[in-house]
Order: sequence, then structure tokens, then C-alpha cells
Amino acid sequence: MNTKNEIQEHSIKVPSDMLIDIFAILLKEGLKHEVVQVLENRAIAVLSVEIDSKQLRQLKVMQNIQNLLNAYNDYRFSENESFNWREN
Amino acid sequence: MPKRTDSLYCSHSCRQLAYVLRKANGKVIESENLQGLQITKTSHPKKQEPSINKNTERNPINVYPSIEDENTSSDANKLTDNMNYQSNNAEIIQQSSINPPLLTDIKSIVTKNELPVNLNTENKNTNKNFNLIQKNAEPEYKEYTSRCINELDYLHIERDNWSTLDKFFESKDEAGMWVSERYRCLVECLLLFSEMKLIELDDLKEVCNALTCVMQSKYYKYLHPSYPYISEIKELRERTKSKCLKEGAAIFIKYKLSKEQKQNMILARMELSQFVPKIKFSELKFRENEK
Repeated sequence: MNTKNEIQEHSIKVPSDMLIDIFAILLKEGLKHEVVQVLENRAIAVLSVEIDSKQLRQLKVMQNIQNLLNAYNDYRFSENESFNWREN
Repeated sequence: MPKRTDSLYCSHSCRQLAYVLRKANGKVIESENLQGLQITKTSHPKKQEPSINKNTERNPINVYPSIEDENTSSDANKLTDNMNYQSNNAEIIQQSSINPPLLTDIKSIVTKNELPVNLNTENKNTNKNFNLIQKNAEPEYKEYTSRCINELDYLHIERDNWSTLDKFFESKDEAGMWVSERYRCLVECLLLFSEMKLIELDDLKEVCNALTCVMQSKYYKYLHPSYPYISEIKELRERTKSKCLKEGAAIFIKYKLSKEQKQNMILARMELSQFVPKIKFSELKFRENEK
């Protein structure tokens, strides 16, 4: 009997500095993903990643990716970031 | 009289195989039909042993060849080693899957009264068999690391500014506070510029002038020598000024930072964020006399 997998779509913002690392993880784990948006003036790519919520490993991978992105954000960004550099 | 144990076997070769296995470890693994050969248990008949051949139809490599006699100890030992893979835990099997089992080395072993059973050695993907057995036992998830983060971590340790800044700001040095607030703001502006597709040259000139004002202020001149960003501020200003001069009459430019420059600026921003608040460029005065 085949149960229907619960596919969740996660949207993640990946700074250009982290792109290679994140893509490497997604490819090694075979996670389905696509680039849905590129914020050219912030050097950020928005990715949509499909996760099967019943697969514990995929959930762990997603958490791993989020942790890495949070670590980078702690280094690079302040709490309030603005597009206008004078108001930044 | 006790019942003959070999009456459990369908053929001479199966009986011989079981004998060899008993000699090795006393266990016999129950398996599905192995191309006409059936090996039954000699011990713990009710105990479920892991099945070796889930895939015999597709992969004839799982066929256990008949064994000539107990004198073929080297081959038999190889076979028993392979048997052990299934009866042992996941860890051992995972280790062994790195080097494919020796079952493939046994091309054919002829018994006295049996026809030779040739193994299909063309299929070299023997790991499939053992992975099938361990499919329920997934390896522990090992977290991925990021090269970018690792480099920042390493550089952060190398710079070692945190402890210096901690001591510096404990003394509530006015000059240090004044310079740090402005330096943090200007670094954040330049980092933003480096990530933008194009910027106006005038904007870069404005930031460069702000850096010049900071350096010309009395606060910068009266900074304690232990302040960690004295040379960084000077170098940043020189670099920005030369970039502005180099671009000449351009209106829009691409402001690029090298990887090392960006890493150092990211870390300077992060370090200062622990000690001084973020203030907008539009709200800061960079000349000391300005109100």
C-alpha cells in the first residue's frame, strides 16, 4: 500500500556567499529545489525546496540548512536591514 | 535415535554448506530460494534471521555456490565471512560495504557430484545486496558544515578583537564610542554597496567623505592605541578614495570587494554590533563640530 507523501515547500533566502554551500547540500541529499527569485540589489537568491515531512532525514537537512543560514545572518546582517543605504 | 539433522537439507551441497557454517560460527542464515538450493536452519528454527537474498531474481550474485568439502577452507572462510555480514550489526556491514564482499571472488566451486554454479561477476554492484538488508537501519545524520561559515569562524578567532573591545568599552572611552558608532555604520553601508548590482558614484563619494571626516576628528586622533580598528579605518578610507578617483566621471559603478576584504568587514560589523548600537547614516554626524 502506498501512502501519499506529505510534501512541504520551504522558501529560503540564500545570500550569494552561501550559494555554493547550500546548493552542494541540496544536490548531495537529492532534494528537489528551484530558484524562484533573485534579489539583484541584495545578492540574495530565493529558493523553493520540497521536503517530504515523513522523511526524518529531509527534515534534518532542512534544519541544517536553516542553521547555516542563521549563522551567516548573525555575522552579516543587523536586525533591521533597509534597501535604502542611508536608512540602513 | 535422534533424527538426522541432514534430513533437513534438500541436497548434498546444502548439507555441506551448513556444516561449514557451523564450523565457523554455528549459525545458518535462512534464505529464500537460491536457484534451487535451499538452506534451512539447524538452530533456533523459530528465530527470524535476516534474509540474505531479497533480490535473487535480479541479482544472481547472491547464489551461494556449493562447497566441495571442508578442505576448501579458504573459500569456505570467505563464504562464512560473507554470511557473517548479514548476521552482524549495521555498523560492520557498512564498513564492509566499502570493500565489496569476497563472494564475487568465488567464480565457481565445483563439488564432486554437483554441476558448477557460475556467479555473474559482471555485475560489480554488490553493495546493493548489503544495502538492501540495511535499508531500515539508516546511517546517523551527520550535519553539513559551510565553508563560508568555517572561514568566518576561523578569521574571527584569528582577529581576536572581541576581548580587546570588551576591555576597551568597559572603560567607556568616549573617543572609542564615537568612532565605533560611525565606523560600524560606514562598514554596513559599504557591505550593502558590495552586494548591489550598481551604485551611484556620488553615494560612494559620500561614504568616503564620511570616513575622511572620522579620521580628521579629534576623537580618532585621541583613540587609545589598543583600539583595534585604527589601521582598518585608515586602510578602508584609502581604498575607497582610490576607487572614487579611479572611476572618474562615471555615474553608476560596480563596487566590488575581495573575499578577504568582505570577510574582514563582515567581522568588524559583527564585533562592533556587540558594543555599539546601529545608527542610520542619515542620523549620524561625521564632523565633530556638527550638531
